Amino acid sequence: MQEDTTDTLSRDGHIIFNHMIVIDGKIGGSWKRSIKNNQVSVETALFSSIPKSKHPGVMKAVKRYLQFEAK
Amino acid sequence: MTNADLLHYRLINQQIADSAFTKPSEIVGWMGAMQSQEYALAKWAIGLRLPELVDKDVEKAFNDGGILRTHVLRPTWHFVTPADIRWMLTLTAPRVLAVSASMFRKLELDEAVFKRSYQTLIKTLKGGNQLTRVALKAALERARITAVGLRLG
Repeated sequence: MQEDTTDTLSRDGHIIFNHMIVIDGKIGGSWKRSIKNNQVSVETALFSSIPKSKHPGVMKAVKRYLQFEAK
Repeated sequence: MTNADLLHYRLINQQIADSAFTKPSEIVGWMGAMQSQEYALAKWAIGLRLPELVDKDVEKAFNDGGILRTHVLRPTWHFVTPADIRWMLTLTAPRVLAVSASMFRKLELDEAVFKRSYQTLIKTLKGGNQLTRVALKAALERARITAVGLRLG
């Protein structure tokens, strides 16, 4: 997890929120999926302003996504 | 109304906070049209609104024709329902055809070619018949219509 928001925003060289993490209705970071050996995995990058108390909710959403993708 | 209220309403109206629906076609019908350029993520856009479903359920709805993925708005790929596709095309076709006119000329696609293409497509697809792009290309070429590159697109 990156703590520097600037890096997070410019990770791909430009700011496009097409893989948003939405927390309480607002963008709270971004995510990226990768596929290795037919297995989907998710990498999250939350803004440093997001309190730790919100992390479990994000993990729950990631888990649900992986369940959706499971073959 | 506060910003927090608006954000909350948005999540509810978008069927994200909770959903009254159970089927992909119901979600797509509620949303009207859903961007589906990236197919895998577009299926997830439906899945995140229907927590009971997995990818293959959405895939099935697509293969069964419950949801369509086609160029209807800008045009780029969108999911729409069979119930909505006709009136949406009626509304958007004039503009899409106007912006495509010079491309059609460049590709030598005119009224006569379109007419023959439609006849071939209707003949091969009627009765709910499904064909791959490769099979449709072959059918068009049997009707002596060159279907390569953008002309096929």
